[in-house]
Amino acid sequence: MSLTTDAIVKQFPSVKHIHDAFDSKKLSVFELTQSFLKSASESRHNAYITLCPELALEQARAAQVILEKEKKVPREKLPLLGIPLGIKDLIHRQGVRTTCASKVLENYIPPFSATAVSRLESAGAIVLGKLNLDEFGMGGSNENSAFGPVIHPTHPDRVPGGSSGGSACAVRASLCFGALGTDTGGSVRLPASYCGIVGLKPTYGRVSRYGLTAFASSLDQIGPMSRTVEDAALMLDVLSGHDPLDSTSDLRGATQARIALSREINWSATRIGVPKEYFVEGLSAEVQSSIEKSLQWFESRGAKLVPVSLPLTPYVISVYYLIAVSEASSNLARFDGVRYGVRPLAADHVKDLREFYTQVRGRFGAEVKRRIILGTFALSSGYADDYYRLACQVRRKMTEDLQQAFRSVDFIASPVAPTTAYRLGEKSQDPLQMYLNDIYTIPANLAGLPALSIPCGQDRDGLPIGLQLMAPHFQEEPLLAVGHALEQWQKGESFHAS
Amino acid sequence: MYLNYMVNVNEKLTQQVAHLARLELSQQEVELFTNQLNQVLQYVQKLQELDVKNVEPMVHPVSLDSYLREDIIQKPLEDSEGHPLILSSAPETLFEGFKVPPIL
Repeated sequence: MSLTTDAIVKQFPSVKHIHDAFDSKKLSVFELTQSFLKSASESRHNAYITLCPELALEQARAAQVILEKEKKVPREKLPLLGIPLGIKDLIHRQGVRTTCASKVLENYIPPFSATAVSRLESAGAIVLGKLNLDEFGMGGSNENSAFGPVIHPTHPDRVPGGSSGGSACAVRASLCFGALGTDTGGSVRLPASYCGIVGLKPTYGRVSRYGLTAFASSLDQIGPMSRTVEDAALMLDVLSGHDPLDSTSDLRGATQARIALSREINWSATRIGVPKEYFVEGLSAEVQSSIEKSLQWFESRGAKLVPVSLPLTPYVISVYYLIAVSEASSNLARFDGVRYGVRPLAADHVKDLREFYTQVRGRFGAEVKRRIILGTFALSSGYADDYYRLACQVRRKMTEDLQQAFRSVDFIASPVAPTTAYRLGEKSQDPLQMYLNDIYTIPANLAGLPALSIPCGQDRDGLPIGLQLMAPHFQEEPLLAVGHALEQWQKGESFHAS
Repeated sequence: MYLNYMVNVNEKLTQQVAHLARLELSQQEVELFTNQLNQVLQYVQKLQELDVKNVEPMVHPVSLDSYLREDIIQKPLEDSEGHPLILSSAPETLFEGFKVPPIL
């Protein structure tokens, strides 16, 4: 096959189109996989940490055998048959190195797969490799990787966003068809927005976290990142459903989100909340006008825009950072160089175990060390009540405010981030400045709500702008349906514009 | 009772916290982190303005009861020669165990 992956995704923009092309033999699984492996290995974006061509080609061969036997893609049984995907390198795939973009784990080969990965593979997906990220998911720009920063897919002087920057970049740059990301404070939605793709953070408990390296266990969720809302829905249907291996996994079964997309939306009964605290100083005028245009479109369909108030918005960053770093300092205690991970040579010549740990843990990157220290401080005797406990109390108030808002609206709309993708190095010297970027995405994690990031325009430099829609717990199906409708309109707009 | 004063982190406190977390910091890192910790603590100080007196802390996002499995012993993952796979990533092993430096 001579087609580049860019040409392939242009011609076959969603899983549905790829499957039709498999059926009509316009595409073969094996050649498609080879094309993606080639693009991924030749790319200069640094989106992948590890490529696994042998595994991918073996899976492609198996998919090809099924396809030849069945004649057509068995869409019900194998909804992702032959679809080449990338996995954020914080999520385990048995036998393939998981680094978490950290020097601490650069040699770790997990003996088991994450449930999310097993489910994608059981649905017929092909795993191309492991995608770059901010170390352990800690960062918003993908500049904190021990394997180097990820380059923005269309604007090489910009960051792709983080922490799932490799995932977002790879999807946008046609280095995989879709990807898994993880979202602790916006890590799926922010890079999706910066790179102009779709990203979903599901409800907490919707997707099993088994096999995901924990950053902040009460906030982390795995989510799909894709070219279209329909593909995100398809992936969620595969990923969701109770998993006995994760004790926080919700008991309900898998979603039926893709089917929900084809249902007619009752626009006149749809109420979209617009928090007045969100449209304030710091929000770029271009982002604001792009969001307003989408809101006007919802209104033109018959939806009601309802002003809502989230008065604790100015405290969001404080609450999140205290809770996230506290949980992180506890979770990252497991990296002790005894059971897995890198044991540096110096650790062989230590006088006691304390010095041994110090040698091993000295390999964490600066951002990770900073967060472990802040978290250890916030949990330490004498300070825990004033920091961690207080943050958890405010977290409850914030969650109650959101629940209150959702009594009068079905969705809450906002920007994903106050600006479009910033320049490499622009904010990395000032962690606080970077944290402020997460003000719109964090509430969904604190409250455990589902939230979708969807492209809604671009600024004068051509950088993508993302709209966030948040929904009540376990309302991914209507959320994706409304997102899908907006996406269809957006596509019509850009078609007319070009 | 909440602090009504500003905690000032000095280098000694940063060192103490780093020790609790078993992290070794260079002098440069100690200075940098002390500075940044103070900035972050100053920023989060504004949480003290809020009245949350009788609010139960929320440590988890949804009221999921833990869905615990039955306590059934399952076969551990093993390689083709019957060795436990959990040892496969260990930097050093000894007699099917993790080897650590002397601790006494």
